[in-house]
Amino acid sequence: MIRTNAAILLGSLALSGLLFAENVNSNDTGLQLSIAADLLGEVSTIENGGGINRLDAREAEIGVMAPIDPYLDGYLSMAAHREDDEYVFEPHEIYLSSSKFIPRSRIRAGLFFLGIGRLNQFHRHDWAFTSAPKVQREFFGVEAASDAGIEYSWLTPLPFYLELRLGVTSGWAYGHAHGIGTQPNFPTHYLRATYYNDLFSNGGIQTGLNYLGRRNSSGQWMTLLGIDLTAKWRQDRVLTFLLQSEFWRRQLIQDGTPTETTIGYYLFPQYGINPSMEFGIRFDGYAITSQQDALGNAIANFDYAIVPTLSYHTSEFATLRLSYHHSSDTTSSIEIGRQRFIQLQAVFILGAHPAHDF
Amino acid sequence: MIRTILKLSVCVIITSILASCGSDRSSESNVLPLQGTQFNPLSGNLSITDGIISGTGKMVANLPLDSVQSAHHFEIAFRIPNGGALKLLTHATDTLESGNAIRFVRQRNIVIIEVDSLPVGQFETSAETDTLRATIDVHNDESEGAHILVWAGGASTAGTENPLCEPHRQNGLLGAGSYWGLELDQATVSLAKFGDAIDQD
Amino acid sequence: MISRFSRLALIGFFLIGTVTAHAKLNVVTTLPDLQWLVGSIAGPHADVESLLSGTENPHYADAVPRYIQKVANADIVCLVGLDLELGWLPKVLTRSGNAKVQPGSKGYCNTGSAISVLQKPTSRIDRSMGDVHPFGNPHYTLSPTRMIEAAKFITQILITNDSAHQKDFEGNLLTVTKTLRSLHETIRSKFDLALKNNPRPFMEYHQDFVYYFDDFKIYSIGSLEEKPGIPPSAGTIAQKSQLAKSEKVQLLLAPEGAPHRTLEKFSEISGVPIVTVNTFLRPSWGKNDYRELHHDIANAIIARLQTGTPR
Repeated sequence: MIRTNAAILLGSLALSGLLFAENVNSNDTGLQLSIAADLLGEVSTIENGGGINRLDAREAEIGVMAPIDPYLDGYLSMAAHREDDEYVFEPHEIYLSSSKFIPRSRIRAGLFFLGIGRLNQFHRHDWAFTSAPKVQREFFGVEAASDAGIEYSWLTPLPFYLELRLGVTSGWAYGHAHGIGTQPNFPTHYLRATYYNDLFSNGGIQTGLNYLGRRNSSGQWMTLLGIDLTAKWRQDRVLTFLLQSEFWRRQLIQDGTPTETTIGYYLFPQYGINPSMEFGIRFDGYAITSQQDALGNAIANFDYAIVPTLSYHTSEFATLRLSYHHSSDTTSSIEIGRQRFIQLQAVFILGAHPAHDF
Repeated sequence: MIRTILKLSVCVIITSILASCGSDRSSESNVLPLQGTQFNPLSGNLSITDGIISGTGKMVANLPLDSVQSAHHFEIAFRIPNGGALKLLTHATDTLESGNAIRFVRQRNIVIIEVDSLPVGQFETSAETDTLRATIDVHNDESEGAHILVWAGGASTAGTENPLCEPHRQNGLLGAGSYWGLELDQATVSLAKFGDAIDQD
Repeated sequence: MISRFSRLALIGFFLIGTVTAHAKLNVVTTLPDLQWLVGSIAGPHADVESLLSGTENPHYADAVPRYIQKVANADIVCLVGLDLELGWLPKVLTRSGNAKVQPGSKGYCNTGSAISVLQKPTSRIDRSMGDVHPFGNPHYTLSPTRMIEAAKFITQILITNDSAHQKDFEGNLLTVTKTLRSLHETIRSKFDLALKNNPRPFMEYHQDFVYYFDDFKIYSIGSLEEKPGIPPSAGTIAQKSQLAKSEKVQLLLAPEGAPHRTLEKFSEISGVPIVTVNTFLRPSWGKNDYRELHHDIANAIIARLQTGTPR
């Protein structure tokens, strides 16, 4: 508790210094500072519906980036978010990057969100919806899987866009960790191939093929295979249509024997009503396909969610989002859990204008 | 006619014997039901009387946990004689190997809690004839190793008090499966069930 | 086991993208208008391509992977600058992995740094004032005089990257300067004639035409937007309609893509006719001549002035 408060105090002092410094967001050093805040209110519509039933400041994130010298750029993001009864202020990403050493290549080294999948590469306040689909929560984390390591991306010299990426990170922690984790038997490593194709009427589709592997200290291999797909049509300010989807398969293997195979996916089509407003519905699915009882009989199980979402942008820098979370977990055709809650989210950005990814 | 009847009778008897041999593992007649949780004996000599399982042996719960990388609480009610023990095995294979093991062993009027064969806590003094109740959280999804919390008492009161112990398994070890069960050493068990983790950290 | 041939093929494949010797320069621009300008100066010594097609709003594009791939192959990237492409180009440049075109490198051609800028804020600004560009108004490409300034800067960049063809670039610069000056005089004369007996002011939807009005000495009372980049509310439309009436505004100029209903509402209340025009070249539509763009705009305005009725 004392350590947390000290960290918050130090972070605030550092931030105050930055904000009052004359060279923040100036061209003198190229330093750019931005702050993203994420406020969330949830109300359950049934008893034990899964909502937090209050309005809360879910997260505040400070991002700072600047060229370090002619060869390297630096990026730092720190986030405060609630864990148990207190706010924890911790680094999200701290890394060096460069696209100047090797042609057609980007390298980054440090602590970063793993460059894999679609959602995992974006900070939560940049998502097109409020909360993570189950497949993201279970396979990567409530926001994203991040780790310290090195990542190399290479844009192939082909007449179409194809980028290949390789990352290796320490793997001491993956998912839930209270501290630094434990040294794995084999570090976290991942590969991604990204392909892009134009579509009719100012549209485009980006497809990613992904692999991630890690062997924990108990000798258990975890492999993730996934495909992500993002298609967009934009007309002037209006994102007329967005389709975002990911499909993942995770396998756990112990001593050469698969112990668990799980598939998870989400599909999010969204329609742009006007420059300020979009409506989408997310469909989530999740199932452990290898689940059996102790007698070897297969246990059918399927968790699904349907999340209609309405987003309103007062500008590029502020979004209000209303969604309804309807989910159900079934095992052997019996519903064993259900969640029904309304979410109201507000996200705003102060400071430097963040560039838009595809 | 009589020969035909005899032949048919032999066939029926043989078929019945074969049918009663059951599958690779236990048949339904070997299931040990314990207040809603069905256990399948794996080894040893276990019996059930008036809803209480006793003896020495190992049994696996028929229904698995949510997944390998999951966090659950386990609520058990048990009695252990001096020198006896009860081991809760979680996140293990279907033969209860490669899992997390929380062992309760009685030394006279003290029941000691062990994880990975190391003592990590103990209950208040009790007699051999006392039925102890414990709630055990096992978080098999933490990078520091399986996180185990043990409270005295039932699940309804656990979490409102400090746990008796709260170790992580050493060297980051985690259970490798999604099954759970119990290993009894002269112990008796009257309740064993699981649910969502109490400590939602 | 990879055979020796396969290994050599892999190395060769890898090097194809990394070898940068070109017979021609490979220039990428953000807008088709800059593509025309660079192409006019570079002539046969460069392949010039625009990332945007002219139908997009350059404020709101995404860092589309196709752009990244094109920039990865470029020797020079020419942009408008003044934060017009701030929302997407930095990501494109970073992801391209092309050191030659990063800010500060010899292939980074920020034309906005070379022009005489209008509407540069002189006091403290913040986002409560709307989408104010802190370095000045970036919509200079409709101004032939600013395009001449940009052309000089582009020529220097071309020479830095291909000094062997310096004379050709300088010669083409003279030619395009003459062309732009002649265009400027022709269009100016058209407006002088059309507005001689009718010097009433104009308005614009967004501040796209500030440089255009400046070049052709057209007086404008301002924009219909509540604040830059903020669509006008019903109250603002009513208020500005009253202002337009009292100032006897004779025409409101808007880019294609401006919200039609808003413009119609304004025209209905104020009685001011609307003229919507393309503000960028559209090569995919066969509109790839800068002079033709200007004549189209001027003719559309003058035709509306002559009919005098709301659209």
